[in-house]
Amino acid sequence: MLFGVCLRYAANRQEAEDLLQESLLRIYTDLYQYQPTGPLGAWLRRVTVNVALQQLRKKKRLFPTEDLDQLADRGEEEEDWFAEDRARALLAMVQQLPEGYRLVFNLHVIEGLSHAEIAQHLDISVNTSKSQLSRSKALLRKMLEKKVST
Amino acid sequence: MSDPLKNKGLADFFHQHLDHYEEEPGADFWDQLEPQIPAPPQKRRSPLLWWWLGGMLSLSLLIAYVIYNQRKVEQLEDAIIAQQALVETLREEQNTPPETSVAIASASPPATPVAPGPPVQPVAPSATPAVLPPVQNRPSELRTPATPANLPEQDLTTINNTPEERVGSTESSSLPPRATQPIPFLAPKPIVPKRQALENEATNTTTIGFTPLFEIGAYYEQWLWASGTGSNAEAADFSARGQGLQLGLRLGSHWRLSTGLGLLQLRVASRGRTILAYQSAGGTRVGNDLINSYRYDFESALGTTAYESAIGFALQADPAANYQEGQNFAIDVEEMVRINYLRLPLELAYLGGGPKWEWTLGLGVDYYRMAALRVTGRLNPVNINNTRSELSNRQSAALALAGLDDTFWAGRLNAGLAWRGAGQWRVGLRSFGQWSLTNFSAGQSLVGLGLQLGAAYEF
Repeated sequence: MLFGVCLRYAANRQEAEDLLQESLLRIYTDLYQYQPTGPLGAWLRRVTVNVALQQLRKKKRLFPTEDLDQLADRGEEEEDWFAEDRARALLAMVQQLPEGYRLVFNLHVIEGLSHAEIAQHLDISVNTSKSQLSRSKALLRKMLEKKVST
Repeated sequence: MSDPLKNKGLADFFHQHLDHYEEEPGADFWDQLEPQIPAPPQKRRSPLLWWWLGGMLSLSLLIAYVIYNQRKVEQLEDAIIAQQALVETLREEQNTPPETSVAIASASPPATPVAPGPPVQPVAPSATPAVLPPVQNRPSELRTPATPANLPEQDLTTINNTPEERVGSTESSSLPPRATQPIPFLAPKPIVPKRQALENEATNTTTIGFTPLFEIGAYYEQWLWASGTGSNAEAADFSARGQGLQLGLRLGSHWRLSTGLGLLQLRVASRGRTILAYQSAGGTRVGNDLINSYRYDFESALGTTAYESAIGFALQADPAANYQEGQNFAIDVEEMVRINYLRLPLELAYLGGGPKWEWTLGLGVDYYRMAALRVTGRLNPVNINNTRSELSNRQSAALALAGLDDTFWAGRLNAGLAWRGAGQWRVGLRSFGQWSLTNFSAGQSLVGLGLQLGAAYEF
């Protein structure tokens, strides 16, 4: 479960393993903070997401201004849309997103956070969060269209 | 399913496929993770606790050493004074012819034990010359040179047998008097203030205010104390006590000034004591007057701090073969009623720790006021080897009625650790040391150590 979360926030498998390793160590040291009032799985997932946010926040260029067509073309030679299973292919698309887009997309679409919460977590404005989500969706849509057309 | 190429459908499409996406990390991932797992955190032991325990033990040993040496010096002084008096007496006797045959017999060297013969009638007081004072258990009198001139005239048959002698031998002797034995000088203190005070502390408020504390608790105490005047005494007192009302004045977030009033006290005490009292006396006798006295006490008490009834017995033996008075064996039966028992504790404590665990370090002073009415019965069923049996019938019984009135101050140093995890309840363990700041009851002093385990509820 946790590695799947890491894969969504990481750009590739190696980076996801690094995130998973960091998350497991954090869980090991912070396990005493766990309050058995909620499901353990949700707590583990939250810790993992927080570690991913912290790691990615250290990187400077979270939100690059690149042309969407260039970004969509960048992953054209990646995995075959129909050769692999659909989930893995979608994951590959998410991993191809710039880190800032990927973060906002994961937090909003997968984790279910509002734009206000995302803005608070990433220390950005709500409008920035909304625009990043819009750009990420547009980028993913282009990727999907290219996959479908091929 | 909605069209993934639409805006809303795209989000649902990705959420559906990726929300619970599972995949395993590489095979060597776990091998790489294992060496990076940090070692389990070491249990931190508070060095302050160990420092305090060590300091308290050292202080107690120092006080005990000082008291022991002081008594030793007093014993030596008594012996020197008595020896000087004896020498003076012998010099005078060399220049003075003996007055009576009894005096000559008393001044002769130690005689071989005489087999019991026919009963000898006691000599009338008027026929008794100047004789030895009751040297046994009279250290205060021994400090004054005993010469024939200042020796009181006394009937030998009454030595250590009259009620007055019995009371005197207990009150002014090296034995700690019963009224001062079961001193509940270790009343429980509120280790933790109220929850609200803790919350204030958590928010780093440093306001000086008054936080009234009211608690009812039950405590178990076990303590060991030692006391004596010219003797070695060991006593163990096992007691269970309840403490009723406790008031505290909170000074800031880390200091507390508290006092209390005990309401209930239940105690079962077992005190074993071995008393070695070496004394030497002058007078008309010549010889070795060293005395070995062994005593064992047991006492049980029930009552409150204002009223307490105690009953006990004591066994005492003077087995020294070289004691001129012969070997002696006595049984004491005693009933003591404490009718005025007042203890006023005042303690300043420093509070540390957090909401769950809290430690205290306190310094206090206690004021004791005790008045007791004591009824003592004594039976001397065995008396052998008495070289002066012609003058004394030691097989006797006595009844004494005495009142005690003791007042003294005692200092106390204690450290406590309390857990308060269930509402207003707290459970704590404290260790303490106590020593008397002023002497009590015939110049006795005490040093005490102990442990206290208790639970309390704060209102």
